[in-house]
Amino acid sequence: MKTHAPKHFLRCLIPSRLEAVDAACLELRAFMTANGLAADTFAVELVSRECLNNTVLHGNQNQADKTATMSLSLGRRWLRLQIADQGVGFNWRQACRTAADPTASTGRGLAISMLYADRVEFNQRGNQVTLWFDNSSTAKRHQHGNIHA
Amino acid sequence: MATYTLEKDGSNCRVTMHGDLVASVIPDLQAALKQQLQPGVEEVSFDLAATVMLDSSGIGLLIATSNTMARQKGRVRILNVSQDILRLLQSMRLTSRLTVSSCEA
Repeated sequence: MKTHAPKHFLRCLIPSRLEAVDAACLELRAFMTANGLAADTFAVELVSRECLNNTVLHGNQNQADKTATMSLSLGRRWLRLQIADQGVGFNWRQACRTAADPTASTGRGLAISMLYADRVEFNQRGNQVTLWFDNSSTAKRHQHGNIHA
Repeated sequence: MATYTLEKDGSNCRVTMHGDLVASVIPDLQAALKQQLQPGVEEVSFDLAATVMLDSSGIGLLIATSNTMARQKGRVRILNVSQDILRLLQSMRLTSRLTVSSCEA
């Protein structure tokens, strides 16, 4: 995994393996702590994991020759997370309208991302997602985010 | 070090996590649990005292185990969860399906 980490920017290139997601999230924890955002680490890491797991399992379909990128940039008020894969994308509009079945063992990743991020934006194709976190208010983590094309 | 310890004592099965309950550990843990959850097991407990992160795959494992135990008229307990994980389970409206106790309980 190649990582470049200037003070307010973290970028990871991640092979399509779940163990690589764990390694990227360790980098994320260190980045958050170094920037005084330890209290927000759970929310940002959780959403990162959900998106990265989707890139490995669904977007890149576990294909070893494909990679995902995670970029995290810290502004004065917003923390911006962008995750992209090399897959064909998915119908995020339909997925966003589908409520998770409380008895099902799958299908909660997108709901969790929408719950913890303040804003969620997909590209048209659905193989890149950008999420914003208001780093001035941890309490907002528990409000529903907005979806934008 | 193993990512979890699974112990069976009569009708009780206890899973002690040594780290996070996330997607990368689920296939192995799921296979191990499947071997243990035979008829006669009445309770499965997950000790998450050492767990910082629980993702949707981990939640899926807890729900799947709960579904299996419900069919066997048994129950699942989630022990020693952090406040972050408790809030996540509450937000996803899962505390009514799972018996959850936090670190402070």
